[in-house]
Amino acid sequence: MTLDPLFIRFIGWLKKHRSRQPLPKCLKKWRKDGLTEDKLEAFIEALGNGHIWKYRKPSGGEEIVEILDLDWADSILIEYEEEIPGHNVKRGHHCQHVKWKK
Amino acid sequence: MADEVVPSLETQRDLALDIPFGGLFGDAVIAKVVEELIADPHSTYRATELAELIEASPPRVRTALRSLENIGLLSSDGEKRPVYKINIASKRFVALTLLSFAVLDDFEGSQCMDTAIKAYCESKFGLPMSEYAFTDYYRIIANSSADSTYLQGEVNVG
Repeated sequence: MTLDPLFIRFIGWLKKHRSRQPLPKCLKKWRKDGLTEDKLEAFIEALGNGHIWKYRKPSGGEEIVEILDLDWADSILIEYEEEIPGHNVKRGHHCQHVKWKK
Repeated sequence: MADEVVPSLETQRDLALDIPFGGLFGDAVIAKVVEELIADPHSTYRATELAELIEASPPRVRTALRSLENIGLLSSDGEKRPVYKINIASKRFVALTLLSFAVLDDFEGSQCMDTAIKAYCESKFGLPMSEYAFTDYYRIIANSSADSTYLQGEVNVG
């Protein structure tokens, strides 16, 4: 599966936030790059079960987006040089200055 | 999978997971700023946008950004409304990135930091980490006259 580089950056951002963040914050952070709730849901669906999920906290009803499979996230981020950006093995993938696919 | 309800109460662990770096530096604005910039180092940041994102007051975010620039972790462009970006070449950037994985690992029991260190060593030194540690040990020994003397002595005695 080929992943949109901006989704790779999103995965990196989420992982460095202890692998989960409230949905509104995800959208606030990434909206300037074109992320919408629909696109995020489609991305989560396309990945299939067990990678990233969205759930609602029972306490306040806040929706959370969380990476479930951290090994998968590690491998994706290393492949795309996003584990420690600027300090990874060059594999030909670059995530800088790329916009969300329309 | 969307909209599932998790049947658990909020615990101390959950609360700590909401604080930058798991609460290691408290819940200060500067910690939130560092966490955001480390998490997406490709972006550029204005104080007002960042303030909205981390839900802090713009003056406090401005102060934090100036402090971080003064210590060399960030650079800025523009005078009136400066745009900040993280200094990716800084070793503190690498260390803070690894710290973000360490916090995750301590909470989740995962191996993200180890995996990142291994990838970093392979990239930085061109060898798998175990090989690097082995060869570097002997390089240090060979380049150190004191150690060479010691080794020589050991050999002679043997």
